[in-house]
Amino acid sequence: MTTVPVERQTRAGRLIRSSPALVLASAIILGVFVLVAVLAPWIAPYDPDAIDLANVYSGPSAAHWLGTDGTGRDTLSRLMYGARLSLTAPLLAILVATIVGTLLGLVAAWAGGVVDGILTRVFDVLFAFPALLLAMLGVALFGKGLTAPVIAVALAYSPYVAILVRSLVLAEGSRPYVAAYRVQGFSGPWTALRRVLPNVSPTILAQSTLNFGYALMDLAALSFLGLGVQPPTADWGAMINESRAAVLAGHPLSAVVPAIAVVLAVVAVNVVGDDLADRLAGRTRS
Amino acid sequence: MTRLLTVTDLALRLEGGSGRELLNGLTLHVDAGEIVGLVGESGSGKSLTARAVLGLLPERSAVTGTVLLGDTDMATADAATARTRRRNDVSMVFQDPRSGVNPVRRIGDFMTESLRLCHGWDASRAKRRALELLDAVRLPHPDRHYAQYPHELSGGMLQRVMIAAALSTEPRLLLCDEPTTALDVTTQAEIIRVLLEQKEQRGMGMLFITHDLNLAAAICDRVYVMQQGSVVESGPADEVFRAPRADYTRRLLAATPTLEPRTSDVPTPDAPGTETPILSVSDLRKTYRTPFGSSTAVDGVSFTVRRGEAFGIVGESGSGKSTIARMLVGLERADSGSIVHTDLAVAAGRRGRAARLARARARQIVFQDPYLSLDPRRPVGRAVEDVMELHYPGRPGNVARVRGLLARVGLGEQQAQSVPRRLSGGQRQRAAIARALAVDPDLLVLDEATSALDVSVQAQVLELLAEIRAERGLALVFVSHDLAVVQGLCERTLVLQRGSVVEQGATRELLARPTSAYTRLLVDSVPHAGWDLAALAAERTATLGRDADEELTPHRP
Repeated sequence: MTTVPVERQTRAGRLIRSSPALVLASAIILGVFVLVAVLAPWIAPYDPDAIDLANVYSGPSAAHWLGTDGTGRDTLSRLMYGARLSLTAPLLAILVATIVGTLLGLVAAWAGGVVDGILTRVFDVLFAFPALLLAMLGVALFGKGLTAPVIAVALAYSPYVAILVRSLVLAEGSRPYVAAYRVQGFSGPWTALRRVLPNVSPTILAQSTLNFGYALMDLAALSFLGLGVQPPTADWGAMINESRAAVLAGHPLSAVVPAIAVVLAVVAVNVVGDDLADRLAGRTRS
Repeated sequence: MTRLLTVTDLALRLEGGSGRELLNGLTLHVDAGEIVGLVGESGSGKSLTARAVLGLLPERSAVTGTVLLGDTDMATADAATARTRRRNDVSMVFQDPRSGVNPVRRIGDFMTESLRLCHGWDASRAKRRALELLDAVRLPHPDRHYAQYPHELSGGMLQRVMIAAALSTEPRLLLCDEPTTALDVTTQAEIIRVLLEQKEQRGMGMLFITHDLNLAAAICDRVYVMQQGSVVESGPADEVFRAPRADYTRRLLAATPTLEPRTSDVPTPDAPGTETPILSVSDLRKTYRTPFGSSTAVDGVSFTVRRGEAFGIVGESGSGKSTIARMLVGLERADSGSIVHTDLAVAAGRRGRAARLARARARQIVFQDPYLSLDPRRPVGRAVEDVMELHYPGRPGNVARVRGLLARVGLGEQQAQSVPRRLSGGQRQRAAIARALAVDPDLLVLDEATSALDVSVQAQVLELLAEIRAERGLALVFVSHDLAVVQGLCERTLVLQRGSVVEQGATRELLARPTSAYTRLLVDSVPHAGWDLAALAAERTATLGRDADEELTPHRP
């Protein structure tokens, strides 16, 4: 006997949570960003590293739509090229974090007992360090550049994934269908990897999408601090960092443009991730 | 006689989307002092009718017709008027008492809050009333319960608290939505007794929603039989159940298992099973230990199941019957004792793939809720195929076998390609049975396998099980709380109480002439014509002790 749930959703909540226009806009923004990053060498109007000292801090013009920076480099071109690193680095970090976190979480939940106890304590310890702090530690150990921050961010985000996967698998594993697999003679690892994991993967995917936004922000912050990508390579965080002097000198545009790109990307990823989570959750659990 | 509720031509359609008609031309009435039953299968609109009476219909629904509660039309009343009626004239008791209370507040808070907040009573007056009510619903220690938290009470006690709370505003009409469905049969009798007593004392009218026709027949003055949002038959309960006019009522009645009237000369049928035991269980024990203590789930249980026999295990919740079922298929490990499966002398206790598969081929299980026991993302045909491919990889004709097996349980090609959520409850359980049969086991354990199904679907599934059993010479261990179902299916039955065997023997014999007081109590607690609740209460007290209800059963998923 089921009772019919009374539909109760405030108008504001409905607007914010599931506005299809917002989701569509976010998806379009992400699509454009990815497209621009891929096509940068063909569509960028200038070489991103080309210095033009005669044309420093020029405002938006027909030649330079978004102006130039302190060494006369075209902001639009740098933004386009910067998208490549600024989007790939977090993607890589999150990919690693998701794989490592999922495996560890799955092992912890499935093995239980001592293994679970030890792994959970390790996650707890890693949780104690903010992602950015871990990343700075990584940079201090391995040096500046792209590799260290990506590894560090991957390390910092894997416990989030692991804890999520652990609780998902624990909940899923207590369902009778998993017991049914056992009784039918399927082995434990097979059930865990081939059946339980795919069944919880939508939630993992959705969480990773959200993590991507945070990782993008963290990596941009590292670049801004001068610990990530090194000049002259174009990267949104690095662009903001390089433009600090320009902001003080009264030319905010070259800092504001990449900052807006970061904000747009993070918000769009979050909106799309949220929507994805809702949709997938709705599809597997009716 | 005062008319409390008049529903006239009520129709309800959800707006947008499917635009399904959930209620359609519903007409009924309830007078003071009578119990009106609303019976039907799930989805027939019983609960929705109760919501309409409370003025709590889903938003975005189109309602026509009138729901007159006194002189207020609850279908069109504004929120404030509907609330006033709910505060003063009508109350409701729901199925699951535990989801109806705030788990972190005391029973006393729960009992007094509506009196204090809605009626402006002061705390001491509200407390006096609450204690009176707790006493009226026959809770053993009102003072103590007043200060207790919900988790300290058993389900039956908590349901009494819910009834007491529903009565606190002296309603003239009480709506009961499956108030005893989640409870054990002995507890159900006690709750019904309390409800009937209160009805007598207060002269209330009751609208009693239930899927259990036996219960409706035993307590209702009049009944309405609902099907897909409409009333298909109504009238005095004994008339409707004795001489049903509507086809649907007849089908429902035919599908409802009833305990046969007790007669002294019941012939004991010959068990079709041969004498060779397929399963011998001896002195099985299992204790669950938690940081707060331990509870013995199974305490020295022994029985044998013969080849091809249907063996019933009955008991109330917490009796250990599900634990035994899980131990039989290796999902739980016994602390001590042995489970010897004749075909499995070799593989018992061994590790490794071959032993695992051999064990799987010896026995299979079907769980209570097929929606949870089927992989949510696997089409059911593929699920059966998976099992077949695991045990007989690459065997020619596997696909045809899967199709044949699904056809045998009544599932077509289209259903085979559907994921569980696209199937009905009955179809899901058929799929689960097909999956269990894919490895051709000799023993099938059924753990409350028909309890979650509607009666007509349950009847079909039981029939299917009986047929398959005859075809394959399959032995069944049927674990259930429902004596009537067990009587219809099983040759021999074992009665469990708190982990121990009370008695076992030929089912008909056992239920007709129980040798133990506990079995007799179980049999008498099943609703039937001429149900004597006072005598039953005395028997219950004598058998279980006055405070038996206070004992908390260990709560496991």
